This record gives sequence, structure tokens and C-alpha cells, in this order.
Amino acid sequence: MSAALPTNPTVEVRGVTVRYGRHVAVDRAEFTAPPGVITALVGPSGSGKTSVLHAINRLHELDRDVQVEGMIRVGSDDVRTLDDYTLRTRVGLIFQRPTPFPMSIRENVRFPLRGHGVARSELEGRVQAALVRAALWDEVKDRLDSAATALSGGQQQRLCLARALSLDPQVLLLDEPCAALDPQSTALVEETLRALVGRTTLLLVTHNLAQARRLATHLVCLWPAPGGGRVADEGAADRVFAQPATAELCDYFAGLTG
Amino acid sequence: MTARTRDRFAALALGLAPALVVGLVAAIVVDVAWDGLGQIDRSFLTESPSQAGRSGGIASILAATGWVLLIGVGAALPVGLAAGVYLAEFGRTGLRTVRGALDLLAAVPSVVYGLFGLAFFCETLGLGWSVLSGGLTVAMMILPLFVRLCEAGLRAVPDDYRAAGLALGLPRWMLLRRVLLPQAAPSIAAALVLATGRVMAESAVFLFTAGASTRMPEGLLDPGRVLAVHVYLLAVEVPGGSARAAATALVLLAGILATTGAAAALPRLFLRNAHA
Repeated sequence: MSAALPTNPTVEVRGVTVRYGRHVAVDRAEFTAPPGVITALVGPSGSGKTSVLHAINRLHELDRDVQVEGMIRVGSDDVRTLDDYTLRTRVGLIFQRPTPFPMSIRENVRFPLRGHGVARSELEGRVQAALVRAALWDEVKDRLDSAATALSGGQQQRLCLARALSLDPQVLLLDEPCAALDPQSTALVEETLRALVGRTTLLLVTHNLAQARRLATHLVCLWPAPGGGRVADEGAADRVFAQPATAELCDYFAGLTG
Repeated sequence: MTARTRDRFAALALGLAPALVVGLVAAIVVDVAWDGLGQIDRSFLTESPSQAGRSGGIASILAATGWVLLIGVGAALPVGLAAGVYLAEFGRTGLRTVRGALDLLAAVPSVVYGLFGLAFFCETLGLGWSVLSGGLTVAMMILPLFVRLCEAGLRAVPDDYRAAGLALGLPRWMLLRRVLLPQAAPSIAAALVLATGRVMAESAVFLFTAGASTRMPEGLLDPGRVLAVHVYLLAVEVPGGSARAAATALVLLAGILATTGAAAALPRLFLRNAHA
């Protein structure tokens, strides 16, 4: 079993290269996501944002063809040294497409809790707390035993958020969580993410620059290149948006490319 | 010729092939029913054969068929399911070899399984000609099909569930038990039913391993004659047995049609219940 991670850990990505077979998706990426704030990862398609995100909680291990080099630290721990069940409990991940399990709304949240050995007596309380944190409780409290797949896309995504939050992750990775949502659902998800600031380190991959401006304190810009996506700029979001390090980024932020 | 005419011509020409298939099935059913339907009454299903099958019924034949089905499918289910789960979810090395071996096994003629069953179960293990020998041999025969169908059923479950489960740090076994297997259940059930149909239709394996006794099997080590063997022996070796052969074939066809229909209906039934 690994050492406990501190609350609000810093996530450090050092010289990370991600390969899919012979294709290099990310080339020696370097950045730091400060603790307890939202760090947005932006950049055009193919710049390796999702690949970096999946490398942080080692989800690429699902695919045998993927190779990751370099070091990623969550707090003081190298993620390679952490037991994967523990790592993924503490580093949650929300996908672009909502992925509720084919079971009831209640069971969707209870299932991971039971999987991690939470006492039966605590389950109901933690289910409710998670649904409240994901701004979904009021909409589903009277139909907790209904099928999760019957929820709208926005509600399904907030259910996935509740499912991840039920485990109290110290880091939450979000892979374009609002890409498939309408503006109203997007606003609810963003509200939930803002509420997590201070208690969770958040890394948000988004194509929506306005969303990055609204939410992010820290910004990492990845840029595609023939040898793999590279970090083109990193820093306080206000600074990077105002004075990007490259002319390409300047055009990208201005909507001239992308 | 206009594009629309060409499309209509192509649709008509291609439509002839399925019509031919349906016509063949109908021809077989009508032919067998024509000869055999008049022979079927209550006593045909409740009495055992007499006079080498020229009279009496097929009660002991149905019982023997039931025994080998139960043993064959019962033995193949746990092994086949476990192997299918391993191939789809846990296997990392040697998968190509295992799949190749399964495909090879699937291509082995049933008479070869029969010979192996005779040598191994009947003689080496001393089980003799019995429904147990027949059931175990046919279990080996249906195993490759069952394993590949179970594997295919699991692979058809969206990867999103696996990724979501991993991202939550859930043990794979738990995800398998609570999410993947329930989702694959319709396919697995359909595989089971198809395997059942294959056992019912088999004759060569049972000729070698279960024997051809028309007596009612009273235990696992008793010999027994299954439906397909009964049809064969009545038609080929019993003068005046063709009408009874047709009647037995009709019962066999009804059983196979029922299992095939169940295989087609099960996924829909599961889906309806899942969405209820």
C-alpha cells in the first residue's frame, strides 16, 4: 500500500512522452498543476491533452500499445509507485462522454463506494452528499432507484461527477466534461467545479477557451508538432491569455486558428 | 437502365437467395411433417420404443437426450464461460494460440470427438457406453463454439464501462461481476441455447459414446439412445421404421426450432427487462 497523499496535492509532469505504437502523441511535456485550483489544458486537436491526462492516473494501461516515459508526481509520490486502485481512488477522472453504469442512480454512486470497502452504514449518507456536491440531488432525490441511463446527458455527466466525488479524490481530471452538454448543464457542472476549488486539485482539458477563461487559475497550452504535442506555454491563466509565449498561441486565442 | 431500375433488379436478384434458404427449411419441415405427423400422439411421447422402434414411443429416447443435454451443457457452461472471460478480459499472453486451438477444435469432425470419447471416457476412464460418456464428449465438442461466443458477447460490451471502472479504481473482478457479465448475459444465454441445439442435433458422438439402447436410462452410467441416433437407426437399419423415424425427426426439429427461436428471442427479452 502506498503512502497517503496530501490534500490538494500539486501535480507535476516532468518530461512525459506518450507513444501509441510508433506514433508520438506527447513529446517531453513539462508543467505543474498548482494545488487546490483549476488548471486548464488547452490546445488544438492532436496536441496530446487527453494523452497527458490519462497518463496522470495511468488509464493508458488499458491499452497495451501505449507507452509512457517521464515522471508524474502527485504530491510527493511518483504515480508509477502507487498501487493503481489507490491512485485512481485519489485521482478521479471524468470522461468527455458520460459513462453511467447500467444500474440505478443510487447504485451508480454506491457501487464504487462498496468497491472500496466503505461500510454499509455510511453508504446512503455518502451517496446523498456526492449527489448534492454534483448539483444533482434535487433533481433525482425522488427517483434514486430509476435507471441512470434514463437521465439526460447533462444529468448523466453530473452523476459521473458525483460518482467520482463520492470517493473524495484529491485530484480530479476532467476530459472535456462539458463537450456534449447544453449551456445550462455546462453551467451546473462549472458551478460544481468552482465549489471544489480549495479542496481538490483540478485539471481540465477543454477546447472551450471561454470556459478555460471562466474557470482556470492556471493554464497549460499544448501545441501539436510532427514529433508529438509539446507544452507551448504555461503559467497564470490571466498572464498566458494576455501575453501568450508564441505567435501561434496568440492566433489560437484570437480564434484565427485551431 | 436507370439507377432506380438497377437497384430494383439487384434487390430482386439478391432477394432470391434468402427466399431459397427459407424455401429449403420449409421443404424439410413439410416433408418430415407429411410422413411423421400422423404418428405423433400422446403415447408416442410417453411410451418407450418396442419392436426396435417400429411401435411404442420415444419416452426413453427423450430421457436420454435430456440426460446428455444436461451433462453436456452443464459441463461446458462453467469451463466455457471461464475461458471466454479470460480471453476477453484478463488474458495477456498466448491469446492467439488459445484462439487458434479453439478454432481448430471447432473444425474437428464430430465423429473424431466420438472416437476420442470412446477411447477416453468409455474405455480409459471406464465409464462405458453411457449418457455420462456421451454428455462429457459432447461438452468437449460444443466448448470451442461456446467459448468464442462468450468472448464475443463480452467484447461487445462498450469499453466505456471498463474505462469508467478503471478510472474509479474498481477491481476488475467486481466490474466484471456487476457490470460486464450482466451486460453480456443475453449473448451468453444465446450461446448456451445455440450449444443446446447443437447437442440435440448430434448423432455421431452419441453412437460412439452413449450407445443405442432403447431402454430408459436410470442413472448416469446407463447407456441411452438420443433422438438423432434414433432417427438414423430407424431410417437405416429398421425395415418399416421410416414413419417412426419421420415422427422422431419432427420432434427433434421442433426442439431445435424452439432452441433457435429462444436464442434469437433471449437478447430482446433481456433488453426489454433491462429497460423496464
